[in-house]
Amino acid sequence: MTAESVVPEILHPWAIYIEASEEARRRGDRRTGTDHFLLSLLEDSSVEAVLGVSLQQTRYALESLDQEALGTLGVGSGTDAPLLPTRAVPKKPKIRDVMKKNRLRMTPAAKKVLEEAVKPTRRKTQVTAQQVLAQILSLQPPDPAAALLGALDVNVLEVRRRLDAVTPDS
Amino acid sequence: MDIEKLNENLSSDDPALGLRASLALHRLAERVEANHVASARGKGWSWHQIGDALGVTRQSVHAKYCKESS
Repeated sequence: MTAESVVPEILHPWAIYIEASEEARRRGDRRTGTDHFLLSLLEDSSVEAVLGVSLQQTRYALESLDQEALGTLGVGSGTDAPLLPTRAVPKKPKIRDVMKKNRLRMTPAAKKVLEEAVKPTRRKTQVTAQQVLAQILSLQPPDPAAALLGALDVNVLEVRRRLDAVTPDS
Repeated sequence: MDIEKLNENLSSDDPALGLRASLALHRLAERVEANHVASARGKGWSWHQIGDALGVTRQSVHAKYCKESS
């Protein structure tokens, strides 16, 4: 995987939120957290290249963290239930997609990540996956995304350098 | 599992691990519930029967799971 300089795709913040919310629902979570945002960003292959890890590896690492935590309670493997089925996510979401009753709300940290990511853009309805990733990289454990990056042995400084190379203007 | 052993395990002194375990337990419960609701629907159970089994109204279980596969 190599991080080549590509023009980052402009997304609506809702698109990132809905994708992350589906990841949360799929895992059985009550809220959409920063770890779900990280998973949703990894749908973009250029983000995979910058981070140096794949979506599958990240999902596996998240499951392993859960298994490890459950192991401390003596709830071992074998009790793991399959993930919930994935639902289609609209590419260009409309307000009714965001306001769906069963859409999972964001955790305060996830909300802050999205708000900070859109801050530098004039139009608050446009954001890139790289801008959101830059905010996620600034998080510290025990934040779930920071813990996940730690479990994946991601070198945050190196990723920041690659991110700057890919998006020199951000 | 023996209750004493569970109590011993619950008193882990690492809050990060303990809090993650609490969330992981919730995720596990949600997945078990969702998978069994789907299985019950597949076997012809009504929303009313599923609601009764879960101790909630049929409306709330229907609202939560009716569009699960959409």
